[in-house]
Amino acid sequence: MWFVALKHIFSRKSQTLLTFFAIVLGAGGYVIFSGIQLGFQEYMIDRLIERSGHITVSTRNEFITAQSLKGYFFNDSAVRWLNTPSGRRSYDKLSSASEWYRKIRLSDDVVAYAPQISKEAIATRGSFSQNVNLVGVDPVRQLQVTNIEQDITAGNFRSLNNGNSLIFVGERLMKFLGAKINDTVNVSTAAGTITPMKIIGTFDTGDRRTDERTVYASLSTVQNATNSLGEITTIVIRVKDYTKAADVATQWNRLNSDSVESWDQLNSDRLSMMGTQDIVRNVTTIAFIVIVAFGIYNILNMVVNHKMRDIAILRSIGYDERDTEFLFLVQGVLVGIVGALAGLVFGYLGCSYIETIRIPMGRMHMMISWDIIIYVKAFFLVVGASVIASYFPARAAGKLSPIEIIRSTI
Amino acid sequence: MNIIECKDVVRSFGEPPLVILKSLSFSVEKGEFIGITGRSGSGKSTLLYVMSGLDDLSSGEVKISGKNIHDLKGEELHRFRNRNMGFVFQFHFLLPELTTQENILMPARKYREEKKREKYALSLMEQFHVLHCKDKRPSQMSGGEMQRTAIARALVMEPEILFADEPTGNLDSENGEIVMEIFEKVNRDFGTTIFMVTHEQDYAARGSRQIHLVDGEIDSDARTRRIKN
Repeated sequence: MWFVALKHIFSRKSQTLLTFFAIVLGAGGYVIFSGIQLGFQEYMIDRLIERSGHITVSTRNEFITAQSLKGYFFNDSAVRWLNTPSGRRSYDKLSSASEWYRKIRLSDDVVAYAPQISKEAIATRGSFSQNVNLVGVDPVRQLQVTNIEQDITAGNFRSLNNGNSLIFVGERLMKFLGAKINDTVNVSTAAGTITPMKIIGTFDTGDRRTDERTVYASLSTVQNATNSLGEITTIVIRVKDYTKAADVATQWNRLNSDSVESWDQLNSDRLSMMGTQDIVRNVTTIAFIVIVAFGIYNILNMVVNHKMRDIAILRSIGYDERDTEFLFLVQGVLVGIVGALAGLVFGYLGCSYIETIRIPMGRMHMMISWDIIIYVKAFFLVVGASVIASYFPARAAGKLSPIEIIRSTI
Repeated sequence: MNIIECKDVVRSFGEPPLVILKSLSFSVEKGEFIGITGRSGSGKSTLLYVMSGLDDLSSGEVKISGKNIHDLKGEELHRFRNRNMGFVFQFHFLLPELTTQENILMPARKYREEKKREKYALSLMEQFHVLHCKDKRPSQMSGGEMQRTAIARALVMEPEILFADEPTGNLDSENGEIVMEIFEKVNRDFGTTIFMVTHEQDYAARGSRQIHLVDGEIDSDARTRRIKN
């Protein structure tokens, strides 16, 4: 039957080409659409994971409720609140940074950690000023837990340790302040101190808010400028397996009064948005595949109707129902497989081109996912759709009665 | 020796049943060339299809080479049909995508015997004067050439019986005569039993036996010449 199937395929060139192109578009469309969406998601997740670290230990904010005051009064059950207690308890620093260091060093899951101190400040240069988040870091440790080095556009991040009052600022902040490298800006803090700080480097993360409002300095620079010697507000941790960061964070969170959150817990809203994007992507790609399947189904149905006489004669010379089914099924599946492979190539070339398109964000060009699973899924979805779409006309062909066809022909 | 035995063959359609074949009983000896005649609606074609197993019986029994053809199922029936029967229809039913040679070898392909049967297919093409069409497709051939190709396809597996339903119905008198000569030669030289339905009284008379049907019953059954065994 392969022989006749191939003859059928090559003799109906226009129908075969039409089906082939529909499948190519289906598979290619899936690859391109998924490549763009997943590429963007991978980029976002990469940023979430690698820029802010896998786990963040930070100061806890407590919201006061009636429950918060339980046990403070004799015979609690007799207490009736006229105004329910409300408010917030916040902490300026971690409860015990040294205890955290000890715990982190003992953990097998941890690869590296970096302490930070983060304070609000105002950067001023001449008549220009900007509210900033002054982040004190240990530059060597910071580079071990985040990929900030990739965003450095000028200077050496490690140089922050080469002296006091040295800072790295975002490219946008530098424009706002009208400054350039080696210029000095005044940094005012809530403690009332104004410290002149020298810009020794810049970074460009592609995230507008970060680039406008973040200033990196050494831990001691920030502690001195904010009168908070020895204080640590955050510890950023890198673990061996970022997918298990949430488990580690949840476990530590139970044991301590500070807040411990993994990258995915911190960004659960963004991740749920990506989940919605996935639903949209799946619905769209399923629509692609259904259109392809209908195309194959319609064309094969027409072919079966045109080939009634062939079916009758094949049955009269000893070919059975299964041979007839196979004849039509194999046509759809063959075109499906070849079309799917061509579609993968088309999708790959399309993605390669789209990746070169420049956009004013992130890596400054379209971000594409090259995950092999996209290609495997596209192939099996399209071939699966071809099999299902070919099966029904093929089955109908197998059920045709040769004698009915002969009677209707004569 | 009987190659076909029909016993009380009844075929009816619909509800209430319209009886087309009314309890026909007869036998066919090996090597006979039977012409079936009758008016339209007399049941000629239905009898051919019921005898060959392409159509079902309402009641009765048809045995071919001792086997009840309607009891055969699945692979056994298809193999039996492939090995023992050839069919020629009024319309040639050639596969339009295939060449003459490929069409003739289609029955052999079923059991991957196309190589084995190739030489025989070529000899049939030569005998039926279609060798020059070997690589032509049906659309490039005349009606007579197509029908001769269809006959070669029916004979390529060297069947014991050739069922022909109005094989000359679509041909002009010259090509009709050629087809009849081929049938006579096949019957004479290969000993193939031929069961031919025809409207043409002259062609039916050229066989060894003529059965005339009227309203689904045998009106006359006459041997016109003895057969060679």
